[in-house]
Amino acid sequence: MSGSILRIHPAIGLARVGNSEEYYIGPETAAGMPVKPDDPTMGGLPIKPGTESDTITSSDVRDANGALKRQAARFRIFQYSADEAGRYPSGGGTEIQIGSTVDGKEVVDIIWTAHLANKKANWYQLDDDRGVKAYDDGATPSPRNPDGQGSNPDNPERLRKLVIDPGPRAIKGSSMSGISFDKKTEACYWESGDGIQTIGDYPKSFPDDAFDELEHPSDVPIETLGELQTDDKGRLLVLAAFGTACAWYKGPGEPYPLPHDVNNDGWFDDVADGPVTAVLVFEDGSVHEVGGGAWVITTDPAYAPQIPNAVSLWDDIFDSWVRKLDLMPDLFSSADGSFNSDYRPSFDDDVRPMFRSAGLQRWIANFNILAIGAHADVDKIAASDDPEDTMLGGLGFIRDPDDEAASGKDRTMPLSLGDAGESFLSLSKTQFFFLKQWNARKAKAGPGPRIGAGEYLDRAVLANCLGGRFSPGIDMTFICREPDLYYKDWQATGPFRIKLKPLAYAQAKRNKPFLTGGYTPRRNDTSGLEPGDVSKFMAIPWHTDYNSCATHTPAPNPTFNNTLYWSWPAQRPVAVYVAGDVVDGKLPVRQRFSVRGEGTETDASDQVGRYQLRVDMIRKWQDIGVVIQGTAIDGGDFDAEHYLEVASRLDDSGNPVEEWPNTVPPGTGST
Amino acid sequence: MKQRQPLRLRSRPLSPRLLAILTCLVVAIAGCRNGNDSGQAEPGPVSENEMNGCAAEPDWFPVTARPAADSFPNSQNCDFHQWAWQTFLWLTQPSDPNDVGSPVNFAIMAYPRDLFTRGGTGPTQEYPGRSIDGGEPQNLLARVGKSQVTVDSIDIFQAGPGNKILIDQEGWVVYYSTYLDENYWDFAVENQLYVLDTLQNVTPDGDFPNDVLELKASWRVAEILDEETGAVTQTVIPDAGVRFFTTTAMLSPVVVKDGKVEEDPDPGAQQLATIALVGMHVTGIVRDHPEFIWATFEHVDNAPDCADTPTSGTNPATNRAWSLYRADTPAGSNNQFDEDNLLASVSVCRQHPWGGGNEQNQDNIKSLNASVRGHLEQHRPLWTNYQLVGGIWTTGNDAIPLNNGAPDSIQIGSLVLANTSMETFTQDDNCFACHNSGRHIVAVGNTPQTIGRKHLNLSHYVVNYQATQQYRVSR
Repeated sequence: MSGSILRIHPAIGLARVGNSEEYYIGPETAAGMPVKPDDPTMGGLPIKPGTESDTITSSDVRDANGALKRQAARFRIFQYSADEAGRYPSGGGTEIQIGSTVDGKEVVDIIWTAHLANKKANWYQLDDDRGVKAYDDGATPSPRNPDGQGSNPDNPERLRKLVIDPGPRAIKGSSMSGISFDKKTEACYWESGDGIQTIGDYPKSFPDDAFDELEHPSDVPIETLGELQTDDKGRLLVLAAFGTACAWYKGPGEPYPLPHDVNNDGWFDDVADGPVTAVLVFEDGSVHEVGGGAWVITTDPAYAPQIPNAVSLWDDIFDSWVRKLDLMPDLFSSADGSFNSDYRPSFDDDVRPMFRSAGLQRWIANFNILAIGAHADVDKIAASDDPEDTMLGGLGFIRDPDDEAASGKDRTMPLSLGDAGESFLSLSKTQFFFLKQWNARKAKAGPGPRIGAGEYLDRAVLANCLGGRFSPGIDMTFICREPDLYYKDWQATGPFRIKLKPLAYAQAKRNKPFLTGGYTPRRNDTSGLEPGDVSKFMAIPWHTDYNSCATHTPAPNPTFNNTLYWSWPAQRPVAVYVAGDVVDGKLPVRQRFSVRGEGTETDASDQVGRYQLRVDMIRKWQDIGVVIQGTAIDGGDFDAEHYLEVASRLDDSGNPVEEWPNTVPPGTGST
Repeated sequence: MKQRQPLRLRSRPLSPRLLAILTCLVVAIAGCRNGNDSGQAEPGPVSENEMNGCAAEPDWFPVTARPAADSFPNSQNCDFHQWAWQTFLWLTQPSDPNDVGSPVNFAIMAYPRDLFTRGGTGPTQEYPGRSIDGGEPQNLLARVGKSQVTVDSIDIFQAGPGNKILIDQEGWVVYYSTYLDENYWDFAVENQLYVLDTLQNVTPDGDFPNDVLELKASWRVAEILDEETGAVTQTVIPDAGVRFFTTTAMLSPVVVKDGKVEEDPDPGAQQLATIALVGMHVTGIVRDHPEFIWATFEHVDNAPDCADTPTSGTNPATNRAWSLYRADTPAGSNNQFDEDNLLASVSVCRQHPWGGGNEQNQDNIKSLNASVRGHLEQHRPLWTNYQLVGGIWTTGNDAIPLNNGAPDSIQIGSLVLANTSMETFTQDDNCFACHNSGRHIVAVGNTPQTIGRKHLNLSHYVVNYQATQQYRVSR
């Protein structure tokens, strides 16, 4: 084989649940950031199916029956020269589609294999206070669904009962059809020399295999973890499942309840994750395995796709790669263990995203006028401004991630709740370094080093996901910061790629669980991850975590603080402006809760804007509206600066939104 | 013993009958103090603390001279705290050393609203911009200044986000008053700082001159008085004059409207009251320190140390009557505002009793307090009930903090400084968190106003005035 290096992008793709059979394609631009010159529509909008980049409008959020459409993760293959592949960013890469030429041969097909699984019920609880530290020194948190026999996640009985594993699925790019991760479809994969192989004996496991009776609050059973499709160019689309959850029975007539926000025994949900690999098939019958495999994660819907998180998943993963995996030695020297004080970040690419995020938070949180003004002022900071003349001059308002005491300060930003064990959120160390360089007038105006189209996909997809607060988060959690998670020899595979544990599908046996307990962090284990090893750390079911993550008092609570702060509002909107409330372009005086209507009303200030019964979120998550930019809202002349909620099917009852600050009675905050 | 000093903020005239009563009261009360303020210099007692640490200068007593900025020694931590105490002593002594019945010095300073007038045209009178000859009784208003588009910096609200109001343990609002001195006034008039265009285009690095002072005082309601007769109709603090500096004021009660606290719009709701001083910020500029020295004083009955508050049960150190602390309130229930119960009493404790900073800083404050107290016991016993909490400044030479006090490295002194009566809910910060040269955003009405970076932003009189003028012009 010649020197061409092939990689799948994005390195980590996100598919999102919906209750519709229909779907749109996940956004391939970064939330809130400009996309095209002179186009006021910002990035982050999903893409209409069957198009390259036509973004959806408010009419596309739901299908004709009012069901929320799913979001597909679209994967493509890029070709790099050896020179390009050896540096980051490469600035290069050419997409390879059916009909493209690689090393002088025409690609006639692309065979994709993916494997989704859900291991949540077989894994350990989330330790809210300790996060990944709960795995230090050989320890683990308490198991979910303890069995009285040590609850070993490798116990075959647990694996059979508690893991949802439909097995792998392979699909030809030329097929342009779909294949489901359901029970009735045979598992299949691509095998070198043999092509697509079916595995009749694959030990598939679904909830109803192990439990005779299941409770389905939304009346939708878990029958699939998603689906693969391909488009007319041979790209892969991974569709998530339908966002359902079910409980088994702890006794006759007694389904398991939902007593917890993140660790509920007796429950399954249908999100999942797993590897995505591909093989090019040439006109002469030869094949070329794509070296840089990818990973797909399915999770909750994007209810505010254009609002960037203050710390995104990209910020966390990039920071880990910069500081722990030597990605950009000119930025951070692993030898010195420090950032290069002469490094000049790009204002457009490295600094401005933080300012944009600040400016857009008002659309999903109940800011008062002072906060709106201050955040808007930050959003307006231009490359030409002297930092000293801006609100952020001196960085007094930015929490220093290296200062442990700063995590409890409530006069610094971001003023949302923090990571496990930290009261408030801090920027990643790399983000903070970029800000320090900007403050020291060392940022360069304009864009940074040229980034390739595939590399941009890696970045944009993760920039639209939640980072920073991993207790556990909603897209991916604290394991994203662990170097052992990834292929470290990234010049061969491309950076940011989750290492796949070799899966010997040919050895699958009907009565022996194929998957194991899998990856455990903090074990110096670099053998890789199995399907389900990313999502198993997340809340079960995700709905209860989503429901609760509106506002809380800080935990741990800095002394004397009874104020409520937002959890991760860009991913879980708290208070929104409803498009239907806008009159003559003027915003309504009062916002509404994103989660509102029947079942949400309460007298407790720290319980507003959510369902008072957790089970209601399993029933109604698909009715929550979506916040999108005015330019993408049909049926009216909306301001391009406004990001408004559309397509909510919730009634307007419940508590009114009171502008921040909101408090709990003295002495009743978390401790 | 009761002491009343007129602040004379009221604009509407009182009845001749009440005027006569008030005048008699002032004269009578002032007479009680003659025995202590003898006018003779005395060395005063010397405590062990004083011998070993920061101490009062003997020539501060019995009559204190205002410290001169030009001769500020500017070398030791103690110098800054001495400046604070000496200034406080001067501020609280009779303005006419030969007339013990004369108003205290701070009471005859100007109100910001008399300099920065609503119409934006500047003061209509010479400093202090109002009559201080006793002809006008005071009028201490509970003003919602910024949201009502006035330029009055007297408001009822606490430092920090939101409109947090402090209610004492008797259920009364803690009121505030603000002042600036003649040097501030002259500088502002000379440079026409009341002209919006001037403020918007002033040199960002331009400083206030030496000897500028600005103050903020906090007050509890001690008695409600009959407006016609001056008779006490309700006692809130029994014998307030024994432990507090008191004076009279017209108060505006507050009401909750649309979920927000507002001054009662009914003029008839105003009440004449005796008010008791519970705290004072003393801030001023000395040689090489245009960032101001920010010092604060409190009444000793305000609140116990948080460290003394019990986690449960009772503690002798906290089980007594306090102005702002509910006896034996557990530690985790203090210093918290309840947005759902806006007019509830707040239980307060002192998170950082001596304002933090290094050990020497705190030792100096304690030592100086003990030293001054020794002198005051002889000369002005009432004032032994007040103590310096701390002070903060910077490395000097025009090291002016930017937003939120950045960078921390230039700050010196009491690094976590708060007055329990004024920064109740933000005791983990210090003055520079809000008072700095950075770009500010101020909400006026429902409009955020942007105030560009400048050293003069250290004074919120400037920041708030500019914001309200920008709003006025925009409308």
